[in-house]
This record gives sequence, structure tokens and C-alpha cells, in this order.
Amino acid sequence: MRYFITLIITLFFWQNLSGQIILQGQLKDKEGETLPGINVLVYLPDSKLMIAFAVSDAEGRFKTTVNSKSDSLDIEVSSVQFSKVHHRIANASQTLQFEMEYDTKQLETFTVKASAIERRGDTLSYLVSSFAGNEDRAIEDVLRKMPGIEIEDNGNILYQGLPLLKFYVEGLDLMKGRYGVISKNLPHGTVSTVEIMENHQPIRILEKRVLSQQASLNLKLKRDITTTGTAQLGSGLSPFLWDLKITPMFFTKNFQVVTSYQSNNSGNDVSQQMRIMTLQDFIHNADRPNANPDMLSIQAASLPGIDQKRYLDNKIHLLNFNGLLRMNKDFQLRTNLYYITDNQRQQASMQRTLFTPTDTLDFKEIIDNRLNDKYLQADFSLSRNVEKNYLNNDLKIQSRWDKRMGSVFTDGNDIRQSLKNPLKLISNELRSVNPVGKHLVEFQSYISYDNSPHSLEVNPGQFEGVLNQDEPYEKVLQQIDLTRLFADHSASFGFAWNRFSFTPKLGVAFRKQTLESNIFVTQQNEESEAGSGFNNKLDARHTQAYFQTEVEYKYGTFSINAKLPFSWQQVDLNDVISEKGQNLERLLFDPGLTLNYKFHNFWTVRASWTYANRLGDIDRVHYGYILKNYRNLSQNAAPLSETSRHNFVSFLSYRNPITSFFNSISYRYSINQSNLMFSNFILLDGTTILQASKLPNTSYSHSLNVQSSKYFAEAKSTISFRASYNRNKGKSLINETLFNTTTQFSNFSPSLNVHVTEWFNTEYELDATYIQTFIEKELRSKISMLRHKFNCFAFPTKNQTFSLSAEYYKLQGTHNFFADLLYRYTITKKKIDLELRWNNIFNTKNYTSYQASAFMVSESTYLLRPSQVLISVRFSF
Amino acid sequence: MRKLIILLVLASSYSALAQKPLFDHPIKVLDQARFIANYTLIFNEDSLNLNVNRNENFLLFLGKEKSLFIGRNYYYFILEVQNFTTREQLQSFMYEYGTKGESSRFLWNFLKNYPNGKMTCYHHLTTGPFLYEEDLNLFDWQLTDSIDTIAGYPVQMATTDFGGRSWIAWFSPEIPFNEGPYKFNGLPGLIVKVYDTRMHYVFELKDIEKPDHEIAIEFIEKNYFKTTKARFFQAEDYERENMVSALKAMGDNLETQQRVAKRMAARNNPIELKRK
Repeated sequence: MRYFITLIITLFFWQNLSGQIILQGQLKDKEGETLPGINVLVYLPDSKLMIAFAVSDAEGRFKTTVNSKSDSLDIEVSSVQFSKVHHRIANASQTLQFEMEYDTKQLETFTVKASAIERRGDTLSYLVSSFAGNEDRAIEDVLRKMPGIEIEDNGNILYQGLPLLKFYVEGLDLMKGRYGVISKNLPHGTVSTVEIMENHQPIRILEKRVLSQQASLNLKLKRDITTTGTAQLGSGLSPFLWDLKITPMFFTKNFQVVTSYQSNNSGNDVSQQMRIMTLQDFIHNADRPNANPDMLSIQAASLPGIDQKRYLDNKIHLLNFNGLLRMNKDFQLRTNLYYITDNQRQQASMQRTLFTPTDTLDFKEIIDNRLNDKYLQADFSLSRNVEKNYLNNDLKIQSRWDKRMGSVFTDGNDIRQSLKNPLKLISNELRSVNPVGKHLVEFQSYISYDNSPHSLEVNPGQFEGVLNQDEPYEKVLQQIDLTRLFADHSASFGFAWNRFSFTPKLGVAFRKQTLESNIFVTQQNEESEAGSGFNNKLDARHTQAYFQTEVEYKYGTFSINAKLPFSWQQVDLNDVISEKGQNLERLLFDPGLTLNYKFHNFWTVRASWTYANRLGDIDRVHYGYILKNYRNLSQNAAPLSETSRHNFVSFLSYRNPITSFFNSISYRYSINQSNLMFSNFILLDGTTILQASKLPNTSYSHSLNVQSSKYFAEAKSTISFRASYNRNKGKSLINETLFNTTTQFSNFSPSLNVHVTEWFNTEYELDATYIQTFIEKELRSKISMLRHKFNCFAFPTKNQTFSLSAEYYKLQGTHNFFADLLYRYTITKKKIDLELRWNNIFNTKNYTSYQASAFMVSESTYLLRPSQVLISVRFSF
Repeated sequence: MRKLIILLVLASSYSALAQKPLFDHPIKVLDQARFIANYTLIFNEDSLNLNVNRNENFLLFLGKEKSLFIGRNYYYFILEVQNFTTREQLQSFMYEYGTKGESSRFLWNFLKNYPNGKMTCYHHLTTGPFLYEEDLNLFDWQLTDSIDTIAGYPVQMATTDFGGRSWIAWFSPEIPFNEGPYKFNGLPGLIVKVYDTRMHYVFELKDIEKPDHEIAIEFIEKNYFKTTKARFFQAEDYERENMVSALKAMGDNLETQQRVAKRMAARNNPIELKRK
């Protein structure tokens, strides 16, 4: 039937010689198989100009319309795997059948080059002089013009849309990720060529194992020695404000230095820069002794949860030196030195309310603290990077000489505290990756030694009942000397079997420390020891061997992950003065199980259970009393704390990106068991004697979190809300009364974000918090807080940014309003940034926040920085 | 202590076995690529700032019946991630590189003639992986009588309207495929250069290479959001417009929000202007 119709159509068009004709037909191979996807090309006779074409369909059929006055046509059929077919045909509608012949040689008819896909790790070199123009200053301006390179607003360099892996100068990576200092300031005239290393793997042992898709960049310098730098100068009112940053640099082929001096009194804590932590640091620090064993303190108010620039009253000077030396082909030595001095003043008032079943106790303190911090840190890092081995050794020396003076006004008393908390710390960390058979094994070693001889002097003397037979006295002095040694060594690797993967780690950690402490009482200029109950001379040892395995099983969108850590722990404590001590040996198993399942595209469900056993920190055991701060005298003579916790988490989410509708709900329940309870003896003046006693107890906590957000395209707006509810239930022991406590936190926070135009965003958020404290099921306190936040930012042109943030809050009858304004303008050609910042426009005096714990609610009111305007300019030299 | 040693010995006895990849989504091999065409795209996503041109490299894997068009960096990214055997490797990779920015501007690929007569379009957004189908026969090409030589190949010009733009394509009858970059196909010869009349998106062939071994053209069976083109465009537009609140929900600070808002504002000129 089909052939019949074809024939009729063919005959019909055969008659139509005036213009349009139809060419159609079918393509087959020798076996009669129809051939799809083959090109049929129609040319004018002896011409290169194609006038019609067709591509054969699934049945090998083709059809095309030709409109030409020529008598004849050239038809060509071509495909990669068949030899070309040429025919000259009459310019008339007709049906054509072609039988194609396989031909592999045909493949070579067009130019093909050797495969570059196998060729990786290309290095491209660009001559700087051929890209540099008159208006360019820094190397960044020239880089911007090179093919494939882009520079983001924050100075990040992208190559083919990807961030650079490494930024080298003469093959040395001095600044790690913070290369913007170099690229924005190094004059382009000092650089001869820019090298781009594609698919660069900086760790050589991983070169053949882990492919990299990112590029690194290397600058080759013209001269042997290059010096340059940058400066940022800012000033404002009131009081007189300054903000300086000067960064000179020095480069040679084997030795490079970037130094900087920074100073301000505008509330910018520049010492934060050296505290940048990586994910690895967070994981490691959990197992190591607390870096600052601050056992003694002066009374301070809790920091408000707002931008630090709003309240920090500082005068900081920071000196920083970064040097990198290439020792030979394999080894590099890096040195980073920091020296910081900072004078800070903290002014706040704090209202504490404590609840017992029969009493409500209120205490008010006005706090005025002056901190004088001096800090030196030196890091020396030696690394070896060869094909057979990767090794990195970090030696760190820290020294601190802080002096802190505090005044507390409470109940008509003026209590002065003076704290000296110097610290000396030396640590060494070694990481080495070595191949063992087909696998890579990682060895880690960490050794640290620290000493902190601290002293706290309180004037007039406190706790006269316990320390001085109820007689008022001039001053009390607490001295402690803590010396600690810690060593942790481990090895880890990974492997897989069927649908399971395993990552075991084996290690041994050892810690040894001594704590000595004394309390001295001064009465009528005579200093005497408070007695043996107030002294400590404690030797402590903690040894542990651990074996951790993680097993994962995956099937499609379903996965189970099990953590199976075993540890054997031994603690030995011995106090020479009280002749008390303890010896503890435990084999702990802390399993964890997580299930994860994704279904129907948009849904995820997750459930997990973990069981954790912890031995208390040996830093916290002391058989004699220690005056931790002016109103806190504490003793921990009980056995080492042993806690265990069951934690159940369930999570469900629905995320639909097509309608931009995102929702999640999670619920957590945990049961905590502890063998110890801290008993609080609260004296009439608010001072507290803390004692740990053996009293097994259990606490429970529930927490529910809900989040939802939806984008409305018509209104260019996102409406979202977060809600959370927490309930903690436990027992407290105050003044020898044991009672039940329950604390509830509820929070509801809806927000609206309007994307007014491409360059203008506004956002409004309401934050409502409600805290309730119950003692023996009786509601004793409720606090409600309402905060309104408004933010907007705009960038009307590429070199201007404007932002305004405002906050209004109302709590317990008081209300407050504050707002900050920022305007930034860049003079693109001269590479000068101008910035105008007006903080605290309405000159709001203070900020109040609340904290609640099991039996206490505290209200802190912190003094803010006054309204101030700061203008700064940034340029290179 | 002895128990621990036994455990370790037990555990390490497995290590002689082969390593299992972390991402073991089922893979369907569809065809073998016998040629790879390297393209460069010069594009401008910001119609308000037309002097900044970005470029990105793409690969077109040409098989017997099917072809795959994918970003060069994105292809390497997928290869690399497939090598990972432990979550730690992925975590440190994502932490070190991933958090710094996007890995490639166009996380997309187009599998042509899969299923037969259709093309499978894949796009990765921050909100997830999307999949939709389009007809292979999308383009109504008009031949012109202009001929020229580009990259050493004789070419002829053809035009079409697609996605709200008018496109000009130069194809070479000497290279007997009917394929091209992006979704473009259906001309009797490989498309050597194709661009819209405003030159906002310019794809150009750099060279063709012949791999010394066959490279499989694969379809990875992942947990995709299977949808339509119109609904994918909706998700893409919503993602762009909603980015600031998404970042805020993830806890990013105001400075990051501002930087990303700037970047999103500069993406106002997608390759397919017609969104519905």
C-alpha cells in the first residue's frame, strides 16, 4: 500500500517541471538493513553550493524538496562508516534507492589530530607584556585579560570558571588561599610570564591516584628581587577612630615574605584572621586538651549575639610575618609569626535570677572590665612533597601574657579582681601519607606541652565564712600552676568490599599533667595560707587506645552508615596533699547507626541512633577548693564523671525545586545519664560554693524544628518561616534541696525577601522567642522577646554598593532601635576603593539579651559603641 | 588490647580486595565514541555588561548512532568523583574546592538520539539534578548560499530560529555527521560554528580528535528530577531569583549574599530566552 501511494506521488510530481521537485528514497546496506542518520546532500552540478539536504530517519527513509532551474542535480550520500555515493540525476521528482558499502578507511577523509583527552596536565605560558595596557597596574589587571581567566569581586581568580587550586610565585605557595594580597598589589611590570598548569595535583603522591580538574597559576618574576605593597587608611569620629593596614612584600626565587601591620580602635578584631580553622582542625581539636585551660576568670557578661563591630571597644595592634624558603627541590620551610597587643574595655550589667522550690534569689552586678592581652605565635612548617611520600610537620609555639582587671558593683560593694593568665604552649604535628601495597596509609602524630601559672586576686576578700572564720578581710589570692603533656599517634586507611566500604583508624593517646594550687588570705597586710582543704597537688594520667571503623552500605538511594568506635581508657589520679586519688579502667563502645532513604524525587527520610560514653575531662577534677572567680568556690573530689547518652534523630524533608517549595521537619530526643551532680550552695550575697557529688541522675531533652520556604515568581518574593521548640528536663541540687527543673524554649521566625530588581534586594524578618522555667512543675519565669530585622542592599552600578541594616526589638517593656549604613565606591581605573561606614545611626546605648539554664535566668545588658562614621581608602604602593 | 589487634588484623585482611567507588549508580552504555569534537563557547550572560566575555570548553563525543555534548571540566569532574572510594575523599574534595565556588558554569549534558528520535537533556542546579526530553528534530534549518572555510574545513551557512534567538550555523559536509554543539543537530555535516545573531553565545570547533581507545557514551541512572523543559526552566529561574534567601537559610552572611546577588544579577541572558 505504501509503495502504491509513493508511486502516485512520484507520478504526480514527475509532471511538475516548473520549479519544486521532491527527492525521496531509502538507504540500505548490502544485507538489506535500513540505515538511519545518514546525510543526503543535493548540489548544483559541479558546484560546491548545497541547495537541499535530508537526514535518513529510523527506517532509513529520506525526503527533501529542491527548488532549482538546473537540468540536472548532483546527489551525494555520506556517513562516517560508509563510502561516499555520488550520482548525477535529472532535476525531477523521483524515488531513489541506495545500497551503501561499509568502509572504515572513510574515517580518515577529514583532518583529525592526536587525542588531547589523554593529554593532561598541560602548562600554558603567557607573556605578560603582550597583554598589559597603559591603565593596568597590578598583575590582577593583566590576568583579567588572559583567556579563560576571570576575577571575582572578592579577588578570587577563576580559570575556566573554576577557582584556582594554588597560586604560586616562582613555584612557592606563600599565602595559601589568601593570594589576593599578592595578585592585587604585585605590579605587572615585575612579572615576566604567567603559567597556567591545567589539571594540577599539588600533592605529588596523589598525582596518579586522584585526578584534579582544577588549574594552578604560577607567576615568573623578571628580576631576582621584587618589592611592593598595599595600604588601607581609615579615620572617623567620634571619639577619634583609626583603622590602618600596611602590607609590604618581598619576593625572590627561593625566599618570599609578606608582612603586615594592622591597627584600629574601631571594633574590628583583626586577630580573628589567624584563627581561621579548617574542617580537619575541628575534628582534631575535639580529642586534644583544651587549648586555653582557663580555670580562673574575672566576672564577665555574656556577649550579645550581634555583630562584634557594634560593641567591641578595642585598641589593637597586630604584626604579622609570613615567610617561605625553598630549601632544596623537595623541602620547603614556611614561617608564620604573629604578635598582637589589644586593650579592651567591657561595660555591662547583669541580672541573675535563681530559682529553688521555696525561694527566688535575685542578684545584680555592674561590670567594668579592662583587658590587656599580649600574644605571640610562631608556626614553622616543613613539608616534603615527592612522588613516593607526602610529609608535613608543623611546629607551633604560643605564648600569652594577659592581664585582666575587673570591677563588679553589687549590693553597694565594689569588688576588684585582677587576673594574670599567662600561657606557654609548644606543639608538634606530623602528617605523612605513604603507599602500602595498593593503598595509601596516613600516619598522624601530635605532641603538645603547655604550662599555665595563673593567679586571681580579689579585693576585698570573699567567702570569709569558709576562708577566714567569718571575719571580713582585705584580699584573697588564688594561684594555680597547670602543666600538661599530651601525645596522640594514629594510622588510618580505607578499603571496600562489595557494597560495603570501610575506613578503619587505630591510635594511642597519652596525657599526663600536674595541677598545683594554693589560696592565700591577706588580713591587715599579713598573708597566710587558707589551709590544706584549699590546696591541690594532683598528678593525673589518662591513657587511651582506640580503634574506629566506619562501615557503609549503599543500595540505590538507600544507605546505612555504622560507626563502630572502641576505646580502652585508663585514668589515674593522685593528690599528694589530701592523699586522695582514683584509678579507673574502661572499655568503651560508642556505636552509631544512620539510615538514609530518598524517594519520589522530592522526599528524603533519615533516622539515626547514637550511644556515647564519655569520661570526664581530667582538667576538671581537683580535691581541694579552687576560687574560679570572685563568686565561685568549687571542689570536685568525686569520682571522675562518667556520662552516657542515647540520641535519637529523625528527619523528613520535601524539597521541590521546580515550584521552589522547600520543607523539613526534624525531631531529636536524648537521654543523658551521669554519675555526678554538682551541688550549689548559694550564699546570701550570691557567691556560690560548688561541689561535685556522686549522685546518679538522668536528664531528658526533646527538640523539634520545622522549616518551610516558598518562592512566588509573580511577586519576586520568598516567604519562609522557621519554628523550634526545645524542652529540657532534669534535676538540680541547690542549698541541699534536690528538685526537678524543666526549661522550655520556643521560637518562631517568619521572614519575607523581596527581589525588587536585579540589583536591589530587601528582607524583613520577625523573631519571636519565648522562654519558660518550671521548678517542680510550677511556672516560675517567662520571658518573651520580639525582634524585627530589616536589611536591604543595592548595587546600582558595578562599582557602587549600598547596604542598610536595621533592627528593632522589644523585650520586657523596653525597646530599642539601631541601624548601620555602608556605601562603597571603587575608582576602577586607579584601583582605589573608598568606603563610608556609619554604624549605630541612632546612637543606641545598649543591647540586652537573655540566657536561661535549668534553674537560672540571666539578663545581660551590654554597652554598645556610640554612633560613628568611618571613611577609609585602600590603595597600592 | 589483644582484642583490638585481632580486630585490626581482621579488618586489614579485607583490604587486599578491590576498592569500591562511592558513587555506584547503575551505568547504561549506549554507544562508543569514535571521535571527540572540541568546542569553545564564548558567551555573555550579562546583557547589561557586554564587554565581558567568558569562555568554556566543551566536548562532543560522536558515536555510531548517539552523541553526548558535555563541558570539558564537568566531564573531568564526573570522572574524578567516580574515582572516590570513601566519603572522606569526597568530603575533603568538596570542602577544599567545592565551597570556593561553582565547578563549571554549565553543568549540563545532552545525549542525542537517546531514546531514539529524542534527546535527553540533563542539567545540574544547586537544587538537584534535572532531566527532560526534547525531540531530536527541533530545528527547521534554512540553507543559504554562503560558503567559507573555518578551521581548515569547507563550510556552508544555514539559519534557524530556536529558543527566542535567530541562529547562524556553519557546517562542513566534509565531516559526515549530523551533529553539533548544545542541542543543535540535523545539518548534513558537523556544525563547525554556531552563534545567535547578537553574538551572545558563540560555539566554535577547535579540533576533532580520535581517541586511541573507544570511550563509552553512557547514561548514568541517578535519582533525577524527571520533568519537562518548561518546568526545568521554571526551576532554573526560581533558583536564580531565590538564591539570596536560599543562602540566608544556609547561614551565609550578608557579604556572601551580596556577592552572590551580584553574580546572579549578571545572569540575565540565558541561551534559550523563550522560557515557556
